[in-house]
Formats: sequence, C-alpha cells, structure tokens
Amino acid sequence: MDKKGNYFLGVVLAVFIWIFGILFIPFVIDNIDITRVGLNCTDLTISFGTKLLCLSIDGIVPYMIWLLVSLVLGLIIGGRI
Amino acid sequence: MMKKLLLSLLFGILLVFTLSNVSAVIRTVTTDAGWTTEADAEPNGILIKTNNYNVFIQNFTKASVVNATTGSIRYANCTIMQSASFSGNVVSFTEINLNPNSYYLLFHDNSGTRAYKGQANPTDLIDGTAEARSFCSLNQTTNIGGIVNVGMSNVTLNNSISTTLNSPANNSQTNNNITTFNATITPRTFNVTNATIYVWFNNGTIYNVTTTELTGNSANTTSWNVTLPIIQNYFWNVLGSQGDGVGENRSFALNNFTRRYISSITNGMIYNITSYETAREIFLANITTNGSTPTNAFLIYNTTIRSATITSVSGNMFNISASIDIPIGVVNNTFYFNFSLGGLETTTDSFGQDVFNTSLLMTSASCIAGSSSYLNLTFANENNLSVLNSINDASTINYWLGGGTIYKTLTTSNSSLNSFYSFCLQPQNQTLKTNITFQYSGSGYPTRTFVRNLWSLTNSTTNQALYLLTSSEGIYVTFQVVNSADQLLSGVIANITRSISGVVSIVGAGTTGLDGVVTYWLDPDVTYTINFFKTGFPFFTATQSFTQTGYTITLGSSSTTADDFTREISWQVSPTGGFLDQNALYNFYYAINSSFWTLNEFGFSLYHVNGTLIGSNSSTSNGGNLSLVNINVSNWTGVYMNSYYLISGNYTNSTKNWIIQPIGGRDYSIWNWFTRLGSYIDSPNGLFGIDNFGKIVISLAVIILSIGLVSTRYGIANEAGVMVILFALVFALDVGLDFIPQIQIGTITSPKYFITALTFLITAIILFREEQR
Repeated sequence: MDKKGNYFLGVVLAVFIWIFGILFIPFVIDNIDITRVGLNCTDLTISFGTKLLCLSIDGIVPYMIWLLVSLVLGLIIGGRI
Repeated sequence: MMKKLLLSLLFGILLVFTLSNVSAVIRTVTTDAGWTTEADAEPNGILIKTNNYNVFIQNFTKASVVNATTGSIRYANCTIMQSASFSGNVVSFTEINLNPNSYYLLFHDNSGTRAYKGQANPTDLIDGTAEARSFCSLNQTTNIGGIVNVGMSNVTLNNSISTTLNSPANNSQTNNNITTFNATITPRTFNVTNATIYVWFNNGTIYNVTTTELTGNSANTTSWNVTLPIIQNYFWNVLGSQGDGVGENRSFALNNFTRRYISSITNGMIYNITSYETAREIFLANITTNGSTPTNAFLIYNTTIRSATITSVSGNMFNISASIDIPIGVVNNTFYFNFSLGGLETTTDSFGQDVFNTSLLMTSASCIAGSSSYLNLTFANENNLSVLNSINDASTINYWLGGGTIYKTLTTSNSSLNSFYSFCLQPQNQTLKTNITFQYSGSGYPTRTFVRNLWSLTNSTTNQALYLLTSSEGIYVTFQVVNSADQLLSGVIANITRSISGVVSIVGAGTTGLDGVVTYWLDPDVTYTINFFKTGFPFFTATQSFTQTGYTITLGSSSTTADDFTREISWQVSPTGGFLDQNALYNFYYAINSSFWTLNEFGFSLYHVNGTLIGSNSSTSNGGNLSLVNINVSNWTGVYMNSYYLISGNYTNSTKNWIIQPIGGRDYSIWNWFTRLGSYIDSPNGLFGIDNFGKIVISLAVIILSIGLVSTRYGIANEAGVMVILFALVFALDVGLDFIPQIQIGTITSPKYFITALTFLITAIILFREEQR
C-alpha cells in the first residue's frame, strides 16, 4: 500500500474511533453516576481512599476525551497506521 | 505507545463497570420477617398498626413452602398501597412512609386472584404468642378471623417501645462542635435491648449511627457525645429497641429534632418591634463567636441588603449594627445579619419587625382620624395681603421619615377654590421631611409655583402663606441661564423672593429645563430677589425690579474639570463574571461611591436579552448599594444591566452583559474534577492533609510536568515559547479552574488572580524583549 493509501486508511480509522468513542461516553456516564451515588462522593466526610476513588471516577470522561482526541489527531496528523 | 494508551482505556472502562455495582445505602427502619411460621394455604395477611414517625416497610419474607409470586402492603380497606414480586422468599418495597396511627396489612398472593377485605380493628394482642389474623373476603362484608402464630417483628407497633428525646431541645443552637444527645427509652411488654442515636446532615444524608446496648424492663435514659463535623443544621432521633430474644420491636421518637451547629450564638438583637415605612431604623445584634472575628457583615432586611458595622465588645463577644430606611410595604419584615466567620458565611438568628403605613394626604377640610396636620397652606394677594381662595393646579410631594433613601410620593391636585390646603400625616408623632412642589392659582390670579426641598415638618402644624398676583398687576418674566461659554444650563435651581411685611417670602420657584429657561409671574413695580444655583457653578443672586419680559443669567464656571462626571467616582457591578448558569438564582448589585461629586440619583435596570425589563432599583442618596436579589435567570440566553448616575442633570450610563449558559455535562468535566478536589481539600477532614500549600505544590507539579513534557517531546526550548505555555497553564489553573489559592503573607492577601496577572506581565516583557533582538 502506498503512502496515500496509508493516510486515507488512517483518516478512516480516526473517524471510526472518534464516532464509536463518542457514542461510548454516555454509557460510561451512566455508570459514573451510579458509582458516584454508591460511593457517596458528595459527602465530604468519606474516607481518603473513597475520595481518591471518586476523583478517579470524575477523571474518566476527561481522560477518555483526551485519549480520543490524541488517538484521532495522531492517526490524522501522523498519516500512517 | 498506542498499546499503552489502549491498555489505559481498557483499565478505565473496567474500573467504571466494577464500581457501578456499589449500591446506595438504604435506611432500614423496620423489617418484617415473621412469615416463616405461616403455612396457611389461603392468602392472608398480618396487620400492622403504626404509631411512630417516619416508618416504612422495607421488605418481608415468606415461608419457603408458600408458593407466592407477589407480596403487597395494603391499607386497612384492603386497597393496595404498593406491591412487588418476590425475589426468592423476600419481597422488597420502595421507601414510602406509613401514616402514623393507621392500620396496614401485609399480604402475599398464595392463591392468586381473590380479593380480600382487611379486618379494620383487630384486638391488639400481646405479641410473641398470637396475633389477629386479617383476611379480605370476596363479598367485601364478612370478616373472617383466625389465629396464627407469628414472630414478634410481624406484629403491630401498638405495644411498641417509646422513645423520648430529652436534650438538646429541638432547634437549639451551639457553637461547640461536640453535642451530648440524651433520650429516654421506655420498653413495654419486653425488656429494652438497645438504643441507637441517628444524626443526619441537613440534606438527609446520615452522619452518625451509634448503638448502645441496654437491659432491663424499665425506662432507660442514655446519652451520646457526638462530634459534629461541619457548621450546619443537623437532624437527630433515637431508635429504641425491645425484644424477647425471638423478635424485636423498634421505634423512633415521634419527630426528629434539629440541632443547629453554628459558629456564633446570637445573644440578642436590639431593634424597634414596630416601625413605619421610610423611617430610619437601627439594628444591633450581640453575638458570641467560637473565637474567630466576624468580618464582612451585612444586614439582610427582607430583600434589602445593607453593609453593617462590627464592633468588638469583649473576648469573643461582638456587636453588629446597621441602619436602614424602612422600605415601602405594610408587612412584617424578617431581618438578620449575615457575616463571615473563619471564612464561612453565617447568620444571626432571624427577627421580625412590623411595619405600619406612612401616609400623607392633602385635604381642604379637617384631617381624617388617625392623622395630624403637619402643613397648612393659605393664600393671599401679594400686594394688599388680602386673603384668597386658590386652586391647586398640581402638586408633587416626596416625603419620608428617615434619611431619604426611601421616600413616598404624593401627587395630587384640587380644581376647587379653597382657602387652605392641609397636609395630614399618619403616623401622628414623627418628624416628616419633604420636597414639595405646589402649583397654585386663583380666579384672576395666574399660576405660581412654590418649591421647597428638605423641609422638616412636625405635628405642630406649620402655616405657610403663598402669594398670588392679579392678572392686571403682573407680567411674565423669563430668565434664561447660560454658562460663561453661552451654553444653556438645565437643572438650575431657581427661586424668587420678596419681603412682605418684613418677612422674606418665596413667591416663585422652579428649575430650568433643557432650554435653560424658567419663568415667573412678577410685578414690574416691585423689587424682588432672584437666586440661581447649580452644582459646579458659583451661586448667583440679584435684587431689583424686573420690568422686562426676558433676562439672561450667566453662571461662571467653577473649574475646568466641571464636566468630568467620572472624576473620583467608582462603581461596581456584580456578579463580576461574564457568565451565569441557567436556572440559577442570582443577586445583582450595583454599588457606587463618589468622593468629588454629589450624586443626585443612581440606579440600574436589569433586562432580559430581548429587552424585557426584569426589575430596577434606584436611589437618590449620594452613593451606596442597590440590589435585585433572587433573580432566576431561567433558561434565557443572556441578561444585561443598564446602570446610571445623575449629577446636576447629567446622566452617565453604562451597560453590563452576562451570557447565560447551560450547566448540563459539567459533572464530567475537568472543571468538575478540580472543583471536587478543591472541596475535598477544603472539607473538615481534608484529603491526605493537603492544604493551600498542597494546592500550590500540585499546581507547580502540573506546570513543570507539562512544560517538561512539551519541551522534551517537541523540543520547545525557546524562552518566549515556554513562557506562553506557562502563562496558558497558570491561566487555566488560576482563572479557569480557580485552583491556585491566593497568596497570603501575614494579614496581607494578594488580589484574586494575582499570579495570572504577574505571569502575564513577565510573559509580555519576555515577548517584547524577544521582539527587540
């Protein structure tokens, strides 16, 4: 496969990852909500460990978006897979 | 690299799904588990009578031999309150409180489709041996009785344990973080087994559950010392328990009590229980704090907010005082002081003040009952002093009892000829202040205007003679007022006086309009004194007879900066940011201070983005704060505030816009993450001991790692480039996420976003230097 072909395949893969990644986020959000309630994250008197867990849960969506953007930009700008 | 990223993603997903199985904790008040002794083939139920507060049935268990699929809770008339399917031998219900002093039936559908009627008033049996068995019958008329052995926990709460909350009293307050809760548990029928103290946060989340084991068959008084973690209101109750070793019966006290943990105690409030509209009132609260010094105090009087003064009395005791002019409205106004204590907003207790009507009426007869004459206007011929009857063409009186920031306006007229006009005020024992403009005329006497400002009147009636001049004796004299550059001056206060019977009397008054003109009806043969005054100009007076129909008055300019109406004026609008959240309540403030000019008026109007007026507020005082509170911005796209201030007839306007943005999705943002981190760090038990210094260390770590990564990965070593990245990171952490704390050295605290401003300055200098190379 020549360079143009690689680039085209990279863009297609990037679009594919982007669409399915974005579609996946609502499912994650539902589970984040359930977990936050379960851990009682709004209660400021919970243990340090639980607080740390809550912060980890809170960071999942930003992390996923960052990951998606990184992957997609990497595939598009990098031009090869 | 990509493999690592995918593995990280997979780990995150697994973590989410694992944690999602953690279920919420549900408070269990009573559990019915006595059906194991039930082996009857017919559908049947157990009757429960409730006499306690906040009871609900979480679940009950059927015998394994019973082939039922549905369980239900029914009212005494057998209608279903709620039903659910068995999971194994247990059926669980949603949390719906039972009504106190009511009967309920627990049923399962052993044979499926039959309808049953409950036995509404069964004999209250001692539990442990037998209980009335309740049936519902097909024909809805026959009660079928029966006996079935059941466990105690099945049975009614008729003979339930009694719990009494002794102390602290309901709604009591403390500034000590440890509270001793005390309750008496009185068992009935069986021995007391334990008592459990429940303490809830004010949002209903449970904070503390402590069980104390007890014994004996007599009343038992028990105490618990509970440390309250944060300043707020708490609810508490005690669950007493009795049992016989087989079953258990538990009961809360009838009502939850409230315990107020506050950082200060209100020892007292000095104020007048009653007042009048527009009156000046002083409020003084005496508080005792937990050792902190209160700051930033405000009086919240109904919807009015005024800054308050804090005075140290002794030790931890402080006085907070403020005075306001009572707003218009015959109501009972609630008021309290709001202040900061140790960085937390707190308030004094609330009090109420009854406000009565302040009403001024003009009459040509006697005052009505309940009011007194404060001012009596009579009329006479200017030249021969003969008494006249007069028409009141129009009159406008602004009146108030206090400082004048709040006033009422009387606008009236009377087309009949009357010998006098009396102004009657209710209440009868106050000093009244007025700005009065009274236009009057008689038959054959042209109209004149009487103006007097800041006129103080009492119930000792002030008699004021007003003078008229016949049509044949006078001429209209027009005065046009200009400045030294021949520009027309509007808003010049003018009056004209004449000595009548040795008394200097005002025969005309007015204010120049946009054309700079004021006109009087004068006798050309008489000597008058004219007076002109405008802020920023020297006072002008002249005494002479005015034989011509027109005169020009030139007021010299007082200074070259007279037209700079922004000089030494500072004003502030809040909310200070440019973005507001949808469907949130906001308080809008406009504060202005002038040390050079005297403000005649200032105010603001708040508008919907489509131009619809939301509300407005204004004041004629020389500076202060205005507010519109509790404005729900709903789901509009924007609001804007037009503010103004008036100095000597010149308006200075300004506009502030806010964009209203939806709040959906923020719960999953980086901003939310930092907000959560900040709240954990600032919470009473903190997070791994991290404080403001920890925040700075974290911020520094983020900045160093980010810049280091960018520099090493992409080779950015240029000083200016690194500084731009540094500024972006600092801006994001400080302004965007509000994570970097303000620098504090001793009692000096840096301005908000000082770090960002400093970084911007350094970045600008480096960029400038880079460009100079």
